[in-house]
Amino acid sequence: MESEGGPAGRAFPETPAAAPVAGVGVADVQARGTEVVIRRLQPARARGPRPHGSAKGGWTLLELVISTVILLIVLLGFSYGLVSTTSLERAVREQGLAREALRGQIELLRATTFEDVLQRFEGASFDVPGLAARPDDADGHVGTVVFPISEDGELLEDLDLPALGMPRDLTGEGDVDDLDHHADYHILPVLVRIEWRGSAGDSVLEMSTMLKRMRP
Amino acid sequence: MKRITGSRSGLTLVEVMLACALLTVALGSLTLLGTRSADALGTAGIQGELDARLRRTMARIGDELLSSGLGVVTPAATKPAGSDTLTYRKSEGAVNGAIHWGATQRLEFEYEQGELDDGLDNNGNGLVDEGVVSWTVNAGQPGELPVILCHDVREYAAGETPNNVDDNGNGLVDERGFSFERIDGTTLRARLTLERLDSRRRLLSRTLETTLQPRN
Amino acid sequence: MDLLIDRCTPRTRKGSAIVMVTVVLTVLVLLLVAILRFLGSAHGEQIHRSDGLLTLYVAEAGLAQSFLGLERGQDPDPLERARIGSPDDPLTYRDASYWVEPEDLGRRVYALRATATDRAARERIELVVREIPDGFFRYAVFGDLGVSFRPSSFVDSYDSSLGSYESQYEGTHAGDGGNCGSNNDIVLETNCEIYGNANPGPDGEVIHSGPNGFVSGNTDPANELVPLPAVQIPSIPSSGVANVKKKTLVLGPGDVHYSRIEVSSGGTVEIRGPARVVVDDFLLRSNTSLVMKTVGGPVEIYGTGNFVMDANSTLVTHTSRPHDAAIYLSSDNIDGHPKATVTFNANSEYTGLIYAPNANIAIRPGFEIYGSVMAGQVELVTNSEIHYDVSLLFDDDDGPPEYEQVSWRPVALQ
Repeated sequence: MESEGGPAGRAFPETPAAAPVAGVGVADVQARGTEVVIRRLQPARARGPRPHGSAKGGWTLLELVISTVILLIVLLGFSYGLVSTTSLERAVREQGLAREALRGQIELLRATTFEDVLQRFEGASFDVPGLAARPDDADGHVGTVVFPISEDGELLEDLDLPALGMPRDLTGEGDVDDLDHHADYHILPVLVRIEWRGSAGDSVLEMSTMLKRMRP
Repeated sequence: MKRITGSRSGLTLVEVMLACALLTVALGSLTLLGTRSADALGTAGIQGELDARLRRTMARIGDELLSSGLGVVTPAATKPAGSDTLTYRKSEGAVNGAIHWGATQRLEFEYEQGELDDGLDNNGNGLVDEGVVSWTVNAGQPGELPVILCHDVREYAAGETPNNVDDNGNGLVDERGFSFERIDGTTLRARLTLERLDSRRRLLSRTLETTLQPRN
Repeated sequence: MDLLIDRCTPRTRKGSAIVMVTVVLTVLVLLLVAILRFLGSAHGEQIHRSDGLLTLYVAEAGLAQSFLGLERGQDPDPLERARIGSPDDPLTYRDASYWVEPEDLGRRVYALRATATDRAARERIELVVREIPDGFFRYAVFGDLGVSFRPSSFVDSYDSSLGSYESQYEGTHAGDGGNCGSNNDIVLETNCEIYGNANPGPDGEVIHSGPNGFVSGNTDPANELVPLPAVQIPSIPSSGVANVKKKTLVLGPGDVHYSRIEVSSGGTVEIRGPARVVVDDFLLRSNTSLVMKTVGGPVEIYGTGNFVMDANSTLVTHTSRPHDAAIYLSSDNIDGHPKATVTFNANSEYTGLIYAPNANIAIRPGFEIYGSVMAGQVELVTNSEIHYDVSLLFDDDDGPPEYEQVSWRPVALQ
């Protein structure tokens, strides 16, 4: 193309439209007539309209929003893990409280004079500080002491209570009958149960043993 | 001719300000959540660690006292004083049809090394007048050997201050963070309170008590 | 002039904030995982500890069953009565397995060892039990006001149900159940030997007044005083006085009462059981004999006043069981008004019992006792010997045996 004359009549040679060359930061400055072309080299790409905004770099609002949403989702998961951690810590602590309460109750049973145990603890219930009773708990207490007592209030050998190791000979006579042995039992199975509503939902812990007079 | 090659892409000032504001809010929230989460996790971890040490120590104490007998346990440790020291002996079987007692042993609260009973944090760990649970084998004998079962024992039980009043309503007055109580002359109850500082210098404490009947 | 800017720019550094947040989150997640693992292990530790507690109580349940079987089982062998299951055939209680293995420790003392297992938790407990002594004579020697062991005096034990003392003697002694007791002090002098316990009164003590006083058992003070009830003298009409010279006076079978019996000049008093002989004044002079023939039944002598066996007199018992021969004295040579005279200077290997709650008795070296002595005060003179028969601890005619716990302790797993 034929250029127009420049200042002082000098004519610049026309630079053909050159394909861009991959490079960094080298400015190619031409003056064409009254035009000053400043060209910074950039990676090769097809000529065409440049993507909107890419010439300036950084984030668009859309990118920012999308990134934030992704981060929030990740954080939600993290928070869930945090909540689980705290719940697990509470659950472990509640288990510990229940365990120590079970132990304490069984020790109390063992420390009681054998002949007085049934009278003193039949139908007994107790609370454990730090554990809440289930809403549907009949007596509102977390702890229960269970003996092989029938619904009629009889101490029976033939009750089917595997949790108490029943049926069992309670008198040492060598047989299992259906009589009330309140007056002549010589061994007494007992189960202590704690049921509570905790951080891990409804939980139960129980232990059982057998009591026997060991001293005159 | 006026010609601009390439699109006129870019952000307006408003867009930039909006993006910056959103980014600040998002990153600020992230940072806050992160640090708070880390704190909460750390606190949960410390509480869990305290609980674990409590359980371990009390299990050891329970094992020690179970094969002892109230007849060889001193002092009486009855309410309201209780006791922060317990001397006992364990059964080592029977000789000639009579129980054979082992060497005297002792469990007691002692001030941590470097700590004094002066209301100050003498050892600079952030805890005031904290103690240890000390277990001494062959107590009172030339070969007595003290072993520390647990550090970070609170000087006084949770909720208790040295004011001659039963502040925490457990029947004991001014009991130590490690204390014993004889109940009904048949069982022993041990209580232990541990404390630690979390990352934000908040004092965390945990208490556990165990009840048992020495079997001899 | 127009300005044309043809910008060819490299990409800006995008995503740096995301990288930073990712790093922070990664750190927090790692921390979270660490805490979760710790809490998980704490939970696992708690489960293990709960299992350990469960097996403890299951083992104790086994001990309770074993104890019940020992007390009330039908098998004549105590060990079989006490046995519960076996390692190869354990019983089940809830989800735990358990068994109890008994061991006879002698003298009706048994060790019951219960093992319980549940998952990884195992517990083994030993409960030592003994048949409750219901016999009255539970000591080799007992002195209400005190017991003194002079130099080289000796006490041990044997079991007449297992045979003679000689058959159980093993070089230095037979058994070590020769327990000695007092409601006050026990004094040990040089080279005395007690194969058993020496238990002074609750406020008493064992006093070593010479070197090498030996006690094989414990010297703990007793928990409570031992009462010595008064002797119940049978009410029998008196037959008067008997002077036995150069002849044999046969008493019994049956009840006999003399206000005075004096044996001299080679005379002999022979008591044929079953017999109860009450004598208000008894004197056995030198070279005379008192024979207690228990073949037909037990012989009991009741002294109410002086009871003297001079040196070189002889006391003979025809029995291997001390239950069969007994000397009960209500005589008081401590505070009596007048004080009675009580001496046991006879030459004898006396198999029997001596009970004199108001008397101070000195056991001489020639008067060797196979049985028991309980008196107001007892002195074992130099070189004297008492051999306690441990079968005296139990009165097998007094109903089924009762047992009591001696010791409880955890033991090593096998």
